[in-house]
Amino acid sequence: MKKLTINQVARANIRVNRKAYVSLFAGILLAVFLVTATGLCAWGTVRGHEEQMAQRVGWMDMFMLGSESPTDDQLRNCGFFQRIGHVTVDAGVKDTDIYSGYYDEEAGKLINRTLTEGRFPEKNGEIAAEVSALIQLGQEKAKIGDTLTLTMKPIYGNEEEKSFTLVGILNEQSDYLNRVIYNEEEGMRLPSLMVFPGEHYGMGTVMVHRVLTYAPLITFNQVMRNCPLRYEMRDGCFGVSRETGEAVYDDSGWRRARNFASRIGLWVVLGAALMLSACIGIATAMESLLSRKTEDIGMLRAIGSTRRQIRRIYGAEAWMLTATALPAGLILGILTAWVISVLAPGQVAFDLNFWLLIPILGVSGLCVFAASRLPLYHASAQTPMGVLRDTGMLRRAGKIRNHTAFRPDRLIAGRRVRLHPLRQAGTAGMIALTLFATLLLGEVVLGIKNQDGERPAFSMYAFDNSFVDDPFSQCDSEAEDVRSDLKRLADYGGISRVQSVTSIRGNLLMEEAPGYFRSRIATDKDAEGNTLKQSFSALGGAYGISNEWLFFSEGELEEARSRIYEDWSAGELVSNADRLKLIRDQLGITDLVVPVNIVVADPDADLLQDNVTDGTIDRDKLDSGEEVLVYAPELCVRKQENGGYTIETWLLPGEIREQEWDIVIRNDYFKKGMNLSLLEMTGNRAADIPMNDMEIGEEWKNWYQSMTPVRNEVKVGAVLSGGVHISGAYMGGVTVIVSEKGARAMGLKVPNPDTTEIYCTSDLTPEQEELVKNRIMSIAARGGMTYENLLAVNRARQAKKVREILILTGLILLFFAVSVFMQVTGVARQIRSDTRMIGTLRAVGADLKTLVGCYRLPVWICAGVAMIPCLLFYAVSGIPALRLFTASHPLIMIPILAVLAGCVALACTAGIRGRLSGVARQPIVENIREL
Amino acid sequence: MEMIRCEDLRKTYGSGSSEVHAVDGISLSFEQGTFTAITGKSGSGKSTLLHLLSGLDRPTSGKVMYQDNNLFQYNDNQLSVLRRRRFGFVFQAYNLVRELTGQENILLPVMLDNRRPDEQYLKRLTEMLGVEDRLNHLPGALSGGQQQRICIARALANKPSILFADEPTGNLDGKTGREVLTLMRTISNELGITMILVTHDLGVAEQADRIIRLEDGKIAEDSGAGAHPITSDGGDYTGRESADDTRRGSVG
Repeated sequence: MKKLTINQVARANIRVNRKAYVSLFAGILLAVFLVTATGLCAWGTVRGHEEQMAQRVGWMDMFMLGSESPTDDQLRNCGFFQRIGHVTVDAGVKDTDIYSGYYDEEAGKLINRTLTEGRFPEKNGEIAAEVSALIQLGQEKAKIGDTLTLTMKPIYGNEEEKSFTLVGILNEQSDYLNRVIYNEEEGMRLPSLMVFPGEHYGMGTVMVHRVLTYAPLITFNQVMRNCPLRYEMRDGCFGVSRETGEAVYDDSGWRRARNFASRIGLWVVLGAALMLSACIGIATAMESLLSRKTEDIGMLRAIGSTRRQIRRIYGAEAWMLTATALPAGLILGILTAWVISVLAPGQVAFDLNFWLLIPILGVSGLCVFAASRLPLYHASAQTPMGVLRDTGMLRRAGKIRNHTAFRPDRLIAGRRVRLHPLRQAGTAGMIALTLFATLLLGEVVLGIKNQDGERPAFSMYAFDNSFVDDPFSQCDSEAEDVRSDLKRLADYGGISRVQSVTSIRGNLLMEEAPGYFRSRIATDKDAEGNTLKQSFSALGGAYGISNEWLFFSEGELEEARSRIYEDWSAGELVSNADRLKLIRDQLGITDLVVPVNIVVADPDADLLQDNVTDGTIDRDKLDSGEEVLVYAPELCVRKQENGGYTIETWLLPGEIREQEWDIVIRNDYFKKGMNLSLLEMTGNRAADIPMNDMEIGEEWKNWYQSMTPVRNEVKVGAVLSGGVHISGAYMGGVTVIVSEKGARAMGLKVPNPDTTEIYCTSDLTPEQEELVKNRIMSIAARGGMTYENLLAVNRARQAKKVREILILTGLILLFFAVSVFMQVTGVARQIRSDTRMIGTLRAVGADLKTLVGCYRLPVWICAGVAMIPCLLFYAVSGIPALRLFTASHPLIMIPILAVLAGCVALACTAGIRGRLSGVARQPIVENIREL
Repeated sequence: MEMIRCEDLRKTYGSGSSEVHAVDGISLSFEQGTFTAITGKSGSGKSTLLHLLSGLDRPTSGKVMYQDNNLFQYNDNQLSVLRRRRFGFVFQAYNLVRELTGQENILLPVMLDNRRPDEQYLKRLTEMLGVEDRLNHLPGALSGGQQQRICIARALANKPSILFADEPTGNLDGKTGREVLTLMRTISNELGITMILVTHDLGVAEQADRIIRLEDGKIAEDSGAGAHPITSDGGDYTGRESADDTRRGSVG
């Protein structure tokens, strides 16, 4: 006689009773599919980001601007670096911060310059450019083959007009890296225009930057802390964040870990939840299957099968189904990952790595193994009679209460839930996932909705060309005054409003500084026990600028003069006091000159009304220069338990509870109607003014003497406090606010606006947008400004949101279908094993409605249970400190979740009704005889 | 008074050469309050006849008239109402709902009909059947005899007009079987219930007012009002039933 193997028994079992294995097969298929899809998507997210970063910053880890020290050899030999390339900047485009340059071979490899179009320059006179550079140059429409005529300024050379043929469009790269560089020196930027090496200019030099890669396991922070060359490298040295593609001063591990986690976190959480759900599905399908086989198991145990043999027989079935489901699950998962990569280009790459299949298969196998083990142990661990009499259920029955009046369907269903609480866990998990995906979709959709408010269509920013390192004065702007052009923009069709904000440096002249201006000092100890002093003042606001120099006596000043090189604050005190003396001498005054921020803007008076603590806003008096507004914040400081300080300037006087703060500086100085003596000092930019100079010498004396002072006597119309928000304006400390007309009436020299926001009407046509954009580009080019088309940015963002919505909707539909499928197949399996009970119920008079009722309750309980984690998550995500969701957190999501859960339950109920109708069409006697 | 009758009732399984006439043109009438035993060898069609009479199965042809209405012209809901109000069933395999306690199983037809249970009647019923102390247990915790008593109590809970019983003592030992049958008889007599019982145990059948013996789906003998006890063919079919009649004691 041929030997009967366990595999043959398992195969025969499956073949004979295929229907009963559908749910288990579906669960295993689902597990393999989910593991494959989420695994590939998580990997694709990492790869997609890597590709994006490779395009954006290449393979470089760090770059050094300009400096020749340390030398390449020193850098190579210090052990912290591996590869070094050189970037040569030869010229800049006049009145912009756009530079042209080229790379040596190593830098070319490290920077990984890629083209979106065309080719690299191959001879003199050819140029390739980043799109952002073309936009800044007003050449947004330039095409390959076009001639660009640019006024170039070679480094330390003379301006030359040059014509280049545009041969390639470069991927955006230097814009990201240049964002954090605030070095005004010529050539201290990475080039966004690429020319052929050796492009000839009549006069000038070149600036050579270096790009580097770290030796293995080295980070930017380690270089800055431990590299022996760190002091020489400090100037112009930036790390390159491989997480954001931007230049950084600090590249700490936790930030990288956080960014990485935030990128693949969604997939990990989603994958874990999906796998858990699939495992529960497999476990419940297995348990249900085994519960149908109790008699077989009892019989096998009775004729002497060991527990292990029972586990092997039924475990072999699970493995056989796994082998069958594997190819289909893999193919489905791969297809899904591909679809997601198509829907989310740049975010999820499709990278079918053969080696990735090994962990995917391993995790799939582990899922099936882990999920099938528990029911197998449970089924095989009982005695033969225990299996036959279902003593497990009898044990649990101890909790049940006898009823004398009941609805049979509800009682049977309720009792089943009580006696088999985990039978529906898989479905509940899947419904919960459906609801979670809906929450995410809500976040995305509400995020779009929240952007529907009035937002600027274009914004323009001025380069800070009036900046000089002096608190009292500023340079005259070298850029052409485009203020009137900006005003006229409002006349264009489709433009609703143009709002500009300019911050200028002004001064208050007063006999003595009021106590409100006095800095308060907080002391703390560092880890080594050293005393740390921190200064807070209402003038500096949240930035904590020291104003101690306003209150120092002559004696204290002389004492501080001896410490200027050891103590930065003593240096600041002395230099400010010296500058004050120069200004007094130049103007022939004895007043104290207190630097203060002046904001030139036309804010909506209604918006500021809640912040008026004294006086009224009179627009006419503001425009006539007769009155100004003064923002005089109440400054509150509290020491934090973990070090550092909480600084609050946005509380209204009545909102401050003194006992909650360690330091409170209240405005007891500015009042409505008081006279202010305002001083503005501006002059032509002098190239020889030293930066960060503690000693105020001849250059500074000359500077102050060359300036034009503008003095105005004005009244305070209203005092503002609390959270005053004027878009584009910094309102950290005491600020004088004047209107544009008022500034003109007062004769203030106002440079081009720091920020201009252009708002459009909702019916702006594409043609109007194009017209406005071209006009803005032209104004920006003349005014030394940069501009951003926020409509285009918003469109790109909307397109991304649409992709996200598509993905999430797909996921919701998938989860919805899987929930219904799991529930209906689970109940169908249950119905098959309940046929005799159904027959009995029909025999004693139950109709179809009652039969449906026996299975409906667990479905609704499932839906209800699935709501619980979602609601908890939603409640927790609403806690601002966690910042899990960025969109608003409206209660409307709760009924939406409830309706969706109800829809799942209704769809399941419809499926169940269909199944039961089929059973109920059979004669009762066939139901009863089913076994 | 006639309670139920069938006319030319036929039930055929299969077709062609494998065609089996389980019930072959049977016409019978049952009077109110009588106790009829249907007996015969295995495969003679006695259970099929009971199922057709009770509306649990549909005939190939013929009619079953209950109070002058043909059962098979009722729709599913009407049949459900009829079964819960007028008919009671006792199954050989008890067929208790295993998630419900003994008491809940007994109350099932009453609750399906949305009626208040007659507590006194049910108390007396369970006392008579000797299951009053087993009412809080699930079927899995009851013996075969106890489950069968619960099944009988369930069948009688709604005070039916007709009690159909399919081998009610088939899974019980002789003594318990006799006790159960006596109880059924007593209660049926008290309530005037028409009882139609299928059995292969002639000892059980002898207690009936009327005995009908089937053979190949046809009536071989009908004792009328219990005048002629059937003793032919050795008198007892016990032990000749197929093994597949040994079923578990609960369902679901």
